Amino acid sequence: MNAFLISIVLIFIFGVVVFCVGLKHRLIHGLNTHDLITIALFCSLLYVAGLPFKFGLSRVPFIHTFAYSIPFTAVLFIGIRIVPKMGTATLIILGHSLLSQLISRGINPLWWPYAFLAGFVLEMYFIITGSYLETRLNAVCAGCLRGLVIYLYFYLVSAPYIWHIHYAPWYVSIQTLQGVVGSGLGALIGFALSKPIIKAYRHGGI
Amino acid sequence: MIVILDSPLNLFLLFLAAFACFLAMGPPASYIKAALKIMAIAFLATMISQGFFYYFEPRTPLLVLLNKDSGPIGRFTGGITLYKEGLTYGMIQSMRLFSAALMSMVVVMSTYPSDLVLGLKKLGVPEKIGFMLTVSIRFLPALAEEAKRIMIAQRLRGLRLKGVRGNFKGFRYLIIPLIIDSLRQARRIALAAEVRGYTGKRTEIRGLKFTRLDGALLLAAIVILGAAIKYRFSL
Repeated sequence: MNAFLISIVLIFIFGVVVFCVGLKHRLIHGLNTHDLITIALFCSLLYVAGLPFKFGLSRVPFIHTFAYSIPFTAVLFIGIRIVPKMGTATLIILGHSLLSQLISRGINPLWWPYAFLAGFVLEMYFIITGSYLETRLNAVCAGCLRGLVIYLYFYLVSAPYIWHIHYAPWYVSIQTLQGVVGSGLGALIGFALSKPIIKAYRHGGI
Repeated sequence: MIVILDSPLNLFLLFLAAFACFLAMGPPASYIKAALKIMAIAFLATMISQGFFYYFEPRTPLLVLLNKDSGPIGRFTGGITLYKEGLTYGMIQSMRLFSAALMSMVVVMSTYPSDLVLGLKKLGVPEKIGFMLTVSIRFLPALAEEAKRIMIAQRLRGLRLKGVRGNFKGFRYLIIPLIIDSLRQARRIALAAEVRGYTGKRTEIRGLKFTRLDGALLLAAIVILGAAIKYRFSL
């Protein structure tokens, strides 16, 4: 069995563990229609927010990981802070992945484990810390963790097994470092931007 | 086919076939130009990166950019060498990527997103995710329009942003009003859905059916795949 298949099995087991732990801690509350529509909005927002970077800064070679991870994490974390429930992170990331596949790349289930892993890692982090990005430190740690896991998985598992494209270890470490720093920075920006939005959402009559 | 074929010539022919399908969809000239530009950049980038990162044996060094004994960068990277086999591998992989991307674009251009969502539901994707995707697709043009409106309003008030810092500032200035306005719209949609008795299940005017044409296409795909496998292993 190759590394990609093993990773799918491990991600599935990880997902089951996250679900069971969530169930045990009574963290799984159903998402109502309003939550689902807000999550759908953030899936679209992630797509729109990434566009200027996709066609602008991300084209600069070598720093594309850093440039793209900032807006992605910022918008994702605003969404999680607005709907602080278990499942929000996974649904936003999975929804965004499916949306971009539907609109531009075509459906490819081989990329779904990548999206699931990105969501499950954050869900587990929220369960362990017991906080949905309520403090700046919590947000930065969640951002860095997301960057670390996702970029390592992309460069070591997804790209070699889906695209058959290989990267040198030094390149993987530099890109992962950029992803960690970019996601941490994005988390800080998302945390700061979410404050006025949450205020308007709770008290401004949205 | 993309995985089975492995010679540069066969993959190039497959790419040409995929590109012909893409052109048959009648995309605007600007779209074709952009696609060609992106593919040319990606082709060069993949060839060069795989030329340097190729690690299978045997490999023939063409150019040594950095020796592994030359200072801390050399030690950190283990030396940077361009390999002949890596360039060929990069060429093959980029042809594979382009063929897959072009065929995906053909599917996306020839099918309504709602039909793709319907297909996903038939494949067993949960109803709630299907609903979320439908709403996301519906939100996209509205979001783009709203973002444009906010940026025009900001420019009319004298906001001029340039460069990398401007890019980040622009993002900050845009995202707050955009999200607040969209959340307002999300609440309206949720209220409308609940008032109409939405329970999580949707009915469709048009269902997906497996027709004779689908059967014929499936059969043709199986025959072509079989022929490709036979061709590959007879070499």
